[in-house]
Amino acid sequence: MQDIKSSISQMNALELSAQKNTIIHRLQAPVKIITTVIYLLIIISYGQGQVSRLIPCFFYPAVVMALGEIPFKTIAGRLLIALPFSLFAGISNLMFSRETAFILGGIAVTAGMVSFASIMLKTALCVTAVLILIATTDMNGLAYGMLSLRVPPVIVTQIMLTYRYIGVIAEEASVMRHAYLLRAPNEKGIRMKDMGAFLGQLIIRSFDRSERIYNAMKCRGYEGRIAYSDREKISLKGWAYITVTSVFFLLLRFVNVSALVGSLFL
Amino acid sequence: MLKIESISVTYPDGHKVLEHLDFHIEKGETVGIVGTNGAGKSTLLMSVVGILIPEEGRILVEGTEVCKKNLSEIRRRAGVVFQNPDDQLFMSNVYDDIAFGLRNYGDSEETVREKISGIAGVLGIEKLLQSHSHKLSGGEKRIAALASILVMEPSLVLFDEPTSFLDPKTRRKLMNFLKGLEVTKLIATHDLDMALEICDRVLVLKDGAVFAEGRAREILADEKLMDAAGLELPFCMQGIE
Repeated sequence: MQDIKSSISQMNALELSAQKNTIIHRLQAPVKIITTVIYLLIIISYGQGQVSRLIPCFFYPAVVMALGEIPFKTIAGRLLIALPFSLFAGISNLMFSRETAFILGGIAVTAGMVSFASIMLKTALCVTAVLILIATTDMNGLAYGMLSLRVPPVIVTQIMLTYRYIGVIAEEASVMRHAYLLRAPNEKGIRMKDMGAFLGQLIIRSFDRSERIYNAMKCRGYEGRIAYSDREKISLKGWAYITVTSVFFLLLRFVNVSALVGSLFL
Repeated sequence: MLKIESISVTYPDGHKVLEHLDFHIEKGETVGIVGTNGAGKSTLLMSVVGILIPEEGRILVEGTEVCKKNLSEIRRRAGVVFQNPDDQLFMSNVYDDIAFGLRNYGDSEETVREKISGIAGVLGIEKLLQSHSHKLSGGEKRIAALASILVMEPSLVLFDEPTSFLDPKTRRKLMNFLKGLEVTKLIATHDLDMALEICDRVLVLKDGAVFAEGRAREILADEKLMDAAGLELPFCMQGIE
């Protein structure tokens, strides 16, 4: 079993990438959030049979990754974690939708295969876009970006606190695990029969900690609502970036780029 | 500055932690609270800022009684530096953590910026302001937590085990800072050497009541008294450096 702390440090690799200073990193967080949301909406809007039209959509993440100096390996590694979920969601299409959609090189391609490929491509594109957003914007920037976009502060606070304490709880779990393993030298991990007590202890510790945090908040005047700094306004440059990328996305969506490229060669 | 008049605090499970506790602190004094585990040190600190409300007696901070309607005012005047800075640094970066209290009390962003810049300069943490709180070392967290309280310019600062989890050099740095800090301080601690060095007066708690009270050098050097309170002499008085 992999050590909990090393899993957390792997999670932090994307966060480290957010500390860079490239043209993409320098964009305001709300600009990147809006662009990502528009991109996601465009991707989702493609029909199930439009697999070939989805392929040019890789252009955007590829360009942003290059400009943002985001290592492909970092994104690909996380993408591989997300893809199995879509794989299981899309696999039923292969079984239930068996009518032939078209023949490719003498092989009958079923409608199920097409929609399966579409689901996988859409997942890859959407997850990549979100990972790029995280890899180019630190959590604080994301939080303030969300506030600028009028996301309710209570939701932003939940996200911030979860992010802040996930490492602390993981560290606590790691210490408990080490303490367990030192007294159970023949075990490679927590035995299932002890897992209930282990998780129960972790929850109790989390409750204790949350009470202490709440007390610390109250001691500094907290009365149910966290006050953040003034909301950041999107600059002219930011609006220009949103406009250019949106026009590009709309072109991809409504012009069949794949067919155009194909016609050049046929 | 701080007047505690015969307070008693009982936890919801019926366990009486403080019983008719009486003492006062003058403005500018540094008072240490020592005692065994469970003697009521942390409970006393939490009572001063109204996290726990005594069922008997009353607490006055600069003449204002600690009660529900005065809590906001009390918490602006009295700041608590918690034992574990991870409990105190909950925002995603140090700047927002230090700004938390100021914003809650309605200070403008400009004032917040000015005050944070001032306190960061005093504590030498300018470079940490944009850092994520969870990425700091133990010592840095402690200083950031201290900054988050001092920035509110409290007239009374309560410290719960300020030197715990610190390496010797960071402990020394913090102690030197506390010595020079010109506010009234109430320090709950097991670090008797620190209490001896920086406290004017010491209060020994035993079973939720004041067992002994007096000048730090006299109380902490009294072996019989310390033994009766379940404590030891400070290491430096035992010949251990």
